[in-house]
Amino acid sequence: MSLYPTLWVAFLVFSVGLFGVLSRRHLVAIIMGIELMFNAANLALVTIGWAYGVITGQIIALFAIAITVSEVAVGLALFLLLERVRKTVYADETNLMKG
Amino acid sequence: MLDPQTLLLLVLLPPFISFALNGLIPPLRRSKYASALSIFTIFISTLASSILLIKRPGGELIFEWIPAKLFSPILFGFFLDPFSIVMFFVVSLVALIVQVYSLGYMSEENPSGLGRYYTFHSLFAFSMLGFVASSSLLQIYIFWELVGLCSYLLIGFWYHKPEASRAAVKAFWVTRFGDVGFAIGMVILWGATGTFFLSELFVKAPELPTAYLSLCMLLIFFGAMGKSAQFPLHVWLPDAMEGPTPVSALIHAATMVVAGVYLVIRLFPLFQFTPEVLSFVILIGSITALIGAALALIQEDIKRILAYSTVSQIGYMMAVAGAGAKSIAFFHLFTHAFFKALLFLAAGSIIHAISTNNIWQMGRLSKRMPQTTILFLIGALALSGIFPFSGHFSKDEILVWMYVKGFRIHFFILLFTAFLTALYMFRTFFIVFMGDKEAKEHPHESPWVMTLPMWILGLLALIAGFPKESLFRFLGHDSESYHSYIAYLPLSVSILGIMTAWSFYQMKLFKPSNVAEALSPITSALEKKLWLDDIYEWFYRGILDGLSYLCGWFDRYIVDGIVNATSWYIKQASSQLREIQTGRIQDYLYGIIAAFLLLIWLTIGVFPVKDRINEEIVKPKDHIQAPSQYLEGEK
Amino acid sequence: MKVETIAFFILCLGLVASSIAVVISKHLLRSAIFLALSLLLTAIFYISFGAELLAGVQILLYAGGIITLIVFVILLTERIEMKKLEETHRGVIPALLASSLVFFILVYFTWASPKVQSLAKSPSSSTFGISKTLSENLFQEWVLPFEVLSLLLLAAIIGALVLARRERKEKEI
Repeated sequence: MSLYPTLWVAFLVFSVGLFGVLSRRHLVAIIMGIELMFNAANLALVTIGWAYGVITGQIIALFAIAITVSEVAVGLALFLLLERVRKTVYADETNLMKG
Repeated sequence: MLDPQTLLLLVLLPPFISFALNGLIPPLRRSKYASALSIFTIFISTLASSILLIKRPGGELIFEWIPAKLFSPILFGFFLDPFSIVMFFVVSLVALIVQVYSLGYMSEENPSGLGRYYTFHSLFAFSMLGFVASSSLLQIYIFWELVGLCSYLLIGFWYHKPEASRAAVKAFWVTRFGDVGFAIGMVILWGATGTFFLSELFVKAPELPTAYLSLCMLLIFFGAMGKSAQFPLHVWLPDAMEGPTPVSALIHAATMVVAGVYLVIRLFPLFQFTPEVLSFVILIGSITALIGAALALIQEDIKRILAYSTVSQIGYMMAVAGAGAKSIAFFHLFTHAFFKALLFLAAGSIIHAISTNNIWQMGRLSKRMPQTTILFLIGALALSGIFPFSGHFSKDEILVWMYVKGFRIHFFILLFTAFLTALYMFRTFFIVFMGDKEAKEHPHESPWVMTLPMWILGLLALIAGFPKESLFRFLGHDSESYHSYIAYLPLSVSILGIMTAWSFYQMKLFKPSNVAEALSPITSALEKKLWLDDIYEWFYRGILDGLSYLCGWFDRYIVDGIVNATSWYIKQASSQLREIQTGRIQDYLYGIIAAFLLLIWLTIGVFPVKDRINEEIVKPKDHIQAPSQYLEGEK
Repeated sequence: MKVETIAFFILCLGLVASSIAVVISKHLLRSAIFLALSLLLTAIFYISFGAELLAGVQILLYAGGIITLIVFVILLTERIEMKKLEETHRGVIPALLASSLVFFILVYFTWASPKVQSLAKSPSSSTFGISKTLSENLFQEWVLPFEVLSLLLLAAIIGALVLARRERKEKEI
């Protein structure tokens, strides 16, 4: 176990997730990308907490997991609603916010 | 097994359980079991408070509400001192009696309405019991508002009647007007001492500058004035009579309206450092007593007579509490709770029988309703202060105390009020029960479910004065025996009042209208309720409407002008900028990434972050003292 | 090289590879499976850092709950058109640029920070995976955030229910 490799793995996973969020079209795929980013952030938190020797990292990671769960639940519910109302599952076909 | 803590919970929790079950389970609320549950739970409370009264534990119980290390834990505490124990007994007993009586009085109500009625009753019992025992100001305020809410809900119980809902709103607003003072005073006090707990306030507050403390206490007393219907905030109480009569008996005679007096009694260790505020309290109390009695004299609605009488009696309590005798005020509160509840229930019995409130449409009811007549007579005698009824003892104590402590002007005001009290009470009695007119309808005696509770109250109204000495010993009050002609004055003026009423209304020796004409300025002022309602209305119309007109003009032309001009420019600019908005989520994400990179740059280059983690994150604050220290307190 | 080190690098490789598979896989269900795999591998990381409770939560809640939810949703929407599951990308080049920029900035940030450097040299590496410590901290110092979080979860449940509920006629409600 060492700090730098783990942190960098976490950063890599974060970036991969970010890439997924930026480039995928299907909304569920975007949510999965967000999951990857969250997961990487949790991993970094736990690693840093371990290195410092404080429990706070784990506690915040625990909170982050709970928040992620609610975010996913609401996100998927929104997705279902979108699919039902606008008959699309693609992020680039929803342009309600277009100015 | 029955340690004080268990008993306290047994007093407080049953009504709350009843409220929660009835409130959360609509089928239960609509069934006939709602009332049974409510009565059963308040019965448990009554039993537990009787045991408390016998065992007489002392001290303060503190519980942790939200335990925490990061900030001071939020505590709540309950006093188990003589005042709260006796109040437990009074409140739960009167609530029990009134709830049983309501079974008869509200028998024509449909099941769901009855369930709603009992749900509110349970909530009220819980909040009132919690209020009397609370040992922190914040908690007192919470329960204070809760009883206010119950009062609002129950006054407006027949909300389809416009007068009832209007009266409920009026009661709510007027008491809230006083509560604003209470809240401000409480918060100022907290700001200066850093605690809401009374036992700590009593230690810390006397060190404050007197003017500062006086301001706080004056503001808190405003709250008491609103709640206890003191002049000039008494206007809500007569209107509150639109609610069901048992509600008036419980909330607007025996328990909730005396909450203000109880607050003054509770906070007396603070009030005693502010003599100016105390003299204000005495003044308000005396004026209220006089005005209440005078207004009661000209009413035609039997419940309004009793309402003004309550205002007047609470004035007595306030005056003597302000004069420094909290135990005597409490004693009067104690006896008043029984005989005034009795009077209201008797009035309710009459109203139930002949469906009108107007005393001129009643008459010769003594033949038809003998039990109610006797009970009303007991209540009236107790209220007038005739030996050996309970009111005699407490009213005597009040008047003697006022005289002995040198409040001579107040003493004569209160003495005259005692005369008026007997006069208006027996005016009502003679018109309603004697008289020579028959009531139009055919009244009948009420069912036993209504008369039995009244008989219990009647017994209490008869004997509640006798345990005076032991009550005073329990409350820690050393009563001074004072033997002089002064001690016989109150009884004599009361008898004089009864005889006046008898000669006016029974024997018709004089015509009341002649006297009214002779005193026409006073009479007309009283008929207009001293123009208070008009003044409030004018205040509202004139000042509030004027102010809002001004604000409206300012808003319409100046604020809106600025806003419209701004929005016009922004609209122009945004029509250019809207091209940026593509509507694709991911395009916005690039903006977030840019901001994230900017933040990183700021953290590294511009504002380097110091290492904070190893410093102590949690600084434990000085917690309010641990519970165990309180428990060992006064025993 | 020690066995531990080899195992660690295999773990890292597995995590990165499965994560990449999540974002480039053409079939959504396959993405979901890879997401589950990468979450499980993270749980192994947690265990090796002495956070067993967190690993348990990760597996149960994350890998178990969320993946199930996602698969459900995928299957629910599948009935529209089978080909919608064929996932395509859009704007790959700017996304690749932005995410690699973020990656390098983060790596530089930790590499340049003296604090992280000193930590990397001598991590305190005390294991307090004991759930007792965690729960004591959670329910004493962090009890307020904890309670607030429970409210958030409640709000999320209600929100999800309200949003996903099908519109019904008035009388049915």
